[in-house]
Amino acid sequence: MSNKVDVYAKAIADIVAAEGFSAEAEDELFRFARTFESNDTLRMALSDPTLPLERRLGVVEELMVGKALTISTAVASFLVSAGHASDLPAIIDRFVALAAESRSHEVAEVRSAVALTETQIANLTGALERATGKNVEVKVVVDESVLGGLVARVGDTVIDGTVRHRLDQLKDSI
Amino acid sequence: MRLHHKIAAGVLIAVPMLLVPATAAFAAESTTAKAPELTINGKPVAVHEIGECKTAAKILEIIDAPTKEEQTKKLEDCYSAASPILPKMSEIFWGGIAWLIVMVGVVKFAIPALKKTMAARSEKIKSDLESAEAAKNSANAELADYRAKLADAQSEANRIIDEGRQSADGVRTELIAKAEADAAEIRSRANDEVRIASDRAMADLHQTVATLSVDLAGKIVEQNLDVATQQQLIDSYINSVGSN
Repeated sequence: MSNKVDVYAKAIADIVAAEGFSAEAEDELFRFARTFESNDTLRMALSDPTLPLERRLGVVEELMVGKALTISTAVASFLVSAGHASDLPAIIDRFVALAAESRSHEVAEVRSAVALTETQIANLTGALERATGKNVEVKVVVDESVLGGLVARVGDTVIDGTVRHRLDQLKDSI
Repeated sequence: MRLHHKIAAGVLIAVPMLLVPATAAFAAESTTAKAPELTINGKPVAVHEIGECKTAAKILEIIDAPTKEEQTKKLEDCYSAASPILPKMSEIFWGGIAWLIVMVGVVKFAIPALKKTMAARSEKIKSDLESAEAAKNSANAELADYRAKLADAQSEANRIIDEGRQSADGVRTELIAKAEADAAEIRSRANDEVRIASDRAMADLHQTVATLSVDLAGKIVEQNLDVATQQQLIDSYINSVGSN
């Protein structure tokens, strides 16, 4: 991981901690990063240096104002205005990982076709901790491409139980 | 012809030429000598009128003849024609002396020179014959040598031709074998390419069929995944991960 990503991630972690909204801001920025990754139009718009900065910041505000904390919107706008939109997912992921490490936890990225209930998240956290032997913090990303089921990635470990994965296995076996 | 041979031949030719004019000159001198004034019966007689009787003895014999008739007879004898066969004695004498001189010269000089010349000639001919024989032998030897060399060359040429033929046969065989091997390799490669293309086409077909089938299955599953089924899948996943 580059030094630039680390520096920005630590700075964002300090700012969010100072504001006292660490957990919520982590979730919101994490979901924004996943949206940024999966949406080509959004990624190209925010990464295009020929597009006026006001337009790019307007897109960020349109997506987050009223739906996320002010600190989350400010962090996203800061990264875009600093010209690091293309590094936004890596910086946010590193920021979430640093925040989790500060609590002696490891981030578990979970993708699901539908949103999980609190109970499901709690059960899933317990199951992943038993499976990996680590304290984990589940970050859920709604991704309809998985069709159904869940896929969890903890560090280098991936546990895939999605319908998409089974269909791929079926395709390979055919 | 050697020099002494030329000299001997010159002597043989020159001596008779010198001797014959000498005898003729002697005869002419005797003829043209001043004959004594002759008178026969008181009548002077010119020398040319006494015919061949030019010697004093003859003339005295004519003069001393006892009778006129005998004188006349003897004088007429002087004018009688000479014998067409027998020469005069003087000619026979001088001719004999000249002949003897010539013969002595011939025997003394010419014959030895001739013998010497003949011997030299014979020796030269013998030497030439020997040289010719030697040259002939040498030529025969060289001919035999040339024939041997020709035979060797012919043999070498035949050997080279045989080797060339064998080499050509070998090259031809090798080329044919190589061409057959290349053709077999090309056929094999073509068969492999056909097989690979066929396998690839079949794999592509399988892949397409699988993709279409799975996509179709995915669409069917997606349409049938209601909320309850989603929750069941999530719970099943959580239970599965928790139990491992």
